[in-house]
Amino acid sequence: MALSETHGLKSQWACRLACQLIKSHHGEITEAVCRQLVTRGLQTLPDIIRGCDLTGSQVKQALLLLIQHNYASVYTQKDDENARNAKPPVALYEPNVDVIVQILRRPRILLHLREEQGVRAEQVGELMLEHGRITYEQLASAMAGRMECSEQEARHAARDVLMALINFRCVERAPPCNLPPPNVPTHPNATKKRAKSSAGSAEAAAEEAAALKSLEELKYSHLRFKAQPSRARMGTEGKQLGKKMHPAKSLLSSWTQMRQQRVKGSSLRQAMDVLWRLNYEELNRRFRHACCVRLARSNYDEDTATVMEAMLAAGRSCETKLKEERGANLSVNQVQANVRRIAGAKRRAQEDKEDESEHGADGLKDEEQEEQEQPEEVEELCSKVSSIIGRLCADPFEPMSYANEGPQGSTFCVNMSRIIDQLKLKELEAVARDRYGTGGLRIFRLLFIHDQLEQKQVADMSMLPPKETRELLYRMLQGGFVFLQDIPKTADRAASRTFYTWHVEWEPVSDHFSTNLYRAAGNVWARLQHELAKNKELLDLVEEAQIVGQLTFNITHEQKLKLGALQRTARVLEASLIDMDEMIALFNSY
Amino acid sequence: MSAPKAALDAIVEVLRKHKKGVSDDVLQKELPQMTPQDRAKAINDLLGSKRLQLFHVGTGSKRTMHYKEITAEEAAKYKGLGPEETLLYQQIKSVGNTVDAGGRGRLLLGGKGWRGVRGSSPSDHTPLPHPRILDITQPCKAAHPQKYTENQFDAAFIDALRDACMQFIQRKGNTTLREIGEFIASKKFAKVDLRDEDIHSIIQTLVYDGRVDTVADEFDEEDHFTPIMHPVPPATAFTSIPCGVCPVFSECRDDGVVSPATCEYFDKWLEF
Repeated sequence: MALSETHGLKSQWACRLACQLIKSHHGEITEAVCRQLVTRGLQTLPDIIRGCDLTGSQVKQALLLLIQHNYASVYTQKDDENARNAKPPVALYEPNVDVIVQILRRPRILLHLREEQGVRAEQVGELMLEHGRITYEQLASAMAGRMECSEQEARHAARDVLMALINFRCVERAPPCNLPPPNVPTHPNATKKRAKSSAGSAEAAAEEAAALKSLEELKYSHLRFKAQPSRARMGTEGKQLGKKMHPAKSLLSSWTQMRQQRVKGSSLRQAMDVLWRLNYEELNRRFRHACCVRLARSNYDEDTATVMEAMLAAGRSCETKLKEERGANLSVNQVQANVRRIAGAKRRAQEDKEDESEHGADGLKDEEQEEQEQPEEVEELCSKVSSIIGRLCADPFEPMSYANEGPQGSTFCVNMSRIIDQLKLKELEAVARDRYGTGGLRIFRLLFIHDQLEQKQVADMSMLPPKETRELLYRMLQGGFVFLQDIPKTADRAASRTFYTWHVEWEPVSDHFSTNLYRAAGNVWARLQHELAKNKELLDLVEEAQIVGQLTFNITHEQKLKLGALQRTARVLEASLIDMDEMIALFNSY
Repeated sequence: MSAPKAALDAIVEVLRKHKKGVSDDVLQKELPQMTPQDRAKAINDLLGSKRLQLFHVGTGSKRTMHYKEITAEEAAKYKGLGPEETLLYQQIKSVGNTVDAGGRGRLLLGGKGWRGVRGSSPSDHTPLPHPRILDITQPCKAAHPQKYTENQFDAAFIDALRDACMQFIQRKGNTTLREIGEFIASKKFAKVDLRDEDIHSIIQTLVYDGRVDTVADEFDEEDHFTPIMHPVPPATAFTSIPCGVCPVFSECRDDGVVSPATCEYFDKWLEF
């Protein structure tokens, strides 16, 4: 991932889209700073100022805005304190192109929060997207403004929703600025080959140090999903009550108590000042799981989809990275328990929708009841879990596989990367068919299955006329779907004595296509901006009327028609962007 | 020595007057001042430069030789052909693509590989291909537009077989090559028996099209065929927008000649 993202072509169009989005959301100055960051990568403030022809204060303001919205990260580069010529710490800034591009994913994020956690969660998500990073206090006051209720009620609601979102890992603490810069792996071809450093040498020690997490990173990973710091070491009051102490000890104790009070107060203050933000990694993980479930639903049946959903949900907390290859290992009993839990949650959500008034008060009690009393269809599904898992494991596509023998018997896991690869392949096949016709699809699949084939072999095996085959192959070569390799028989590489074979390479094809996705999304965004700029006068008129508060204002019939057409155009383009974002996520994020 | 230009122009003028062709007698009447030697020389020159076409009219004792002017478009088709091949071409054209077997062999020797004549095997699957001229409209061509191709197989016939195989696989759910072969034989799609390899090749194209899956069976060694489990999606977000199928997508730039703001494909797409 890191290596593929560092190479120019792929990120070029992602960077263009990122700059376009920043420009339309935050203006030209911020876009200039963002462009400097995305073109040069990790750099210091003076470097940024030198690179973008803006004043220092403008750059600082733009950087603050980018950091506030999580579009840029700050790191502190420190030299070893014991080193002889240690330099003072330097702040480094790096763009988060992935987060910027996910501006297009906002509607999906809000919809997901609404479906999973309810309307309040959607409101909190909306506020977090609006502010980027937000404290609990700010969130509570903003919620009060939106909910039209007393501040106390809003505060309670904000706290409950925030706690729930933190528990589900959809919200996390914003990282501090004292984290060390990420260790960017160099490409193996860029380093000189040398003998492996021997154990105990200075080089080996440096490698080990680079592999270890710094103290700041460990501290952040420990606190990342904690609403308040641990009180275990704070609540020592009253422990020694009733015990007679030495005056000196008593003095020491009172001094310790005072210090602890001070520490506790500052910790609580710190807890109140914590900045929270949406955890895009977790949200993308959930979208990735939803993709797997969707495939199971479309290719198998609803029961299979429910079993897969239960397995993925059970292993979600164990996943350490987004592009995890496999899910957690689960036994049939564990899957059955999760199926019951999910079925209960779904039914509760359905009931909540039907009757809003009954929601909330006895939520936990209901959940406990659900665990015990399940409707017949859920029990029927639980009885089928074993056969469903067996069928999925026996499928040649292997969406699920046997893992090992655990304390509860055989365990199984979901092959997530296999499912995602299958989804990508099917999308690519559909694109090949739409761009080059059924002949193009046939050739693509033929080469994908058989690998290296000569042009004549391709024509014979695909049963297409040689001329059509040749034309299709060269068009697909231009489009990055197939590749041509020359295998010379002699050293002079004469064309008459060379074999030319065609083949499909999965990773370059996928990478090239993901680049095209960014490029196409950028084009749609550019077109949308062009359409809005073309009708700027009309839009200004409407905006002015809205500011003044006029419900009805005079526009000509022609302007009315123009406005209607613009609305339709904008709707179509925005819907296309949301659809494109799903494909971008599939080929880049998942 | 070539004929004078005036003689050539005079003959061409007469030929243009008679679009359907003229006999030598008519030429003599129209050009009384031209000697028979000059006329013969001019006709030979015109034939050599592919500006004149020879053909027979009538049968038996009434059979006479006629001359007709060749248009520039026609002349391009005769390029690269010798006199014998030109005559053969004209013969095929005159008899409407039903040349006898005697002429076929010679034509294939000289004419195959040339872009005007193509070999194709008809649906009775005789080993020797029939020579055909591409620009002659045939009633069968309208019904089967892809019937005659460079590939030397009958595309329409193959398509019919593919559809039949697909329907059979869909109906049966899980079937073998032997069963499909029996089905094809029972339906008498072809006058000759198709080999298992032929049917297998046809089914393989269905596999490459993403319509059929090949599955191995535990109980027998035969390959089993089933309708595809993971079909190709009917549409994608990428190809739903103009950029997905744009032929100049790689040349599109924000400030370029081709740009999203001035894109005609976008204009058409956003026309409601």
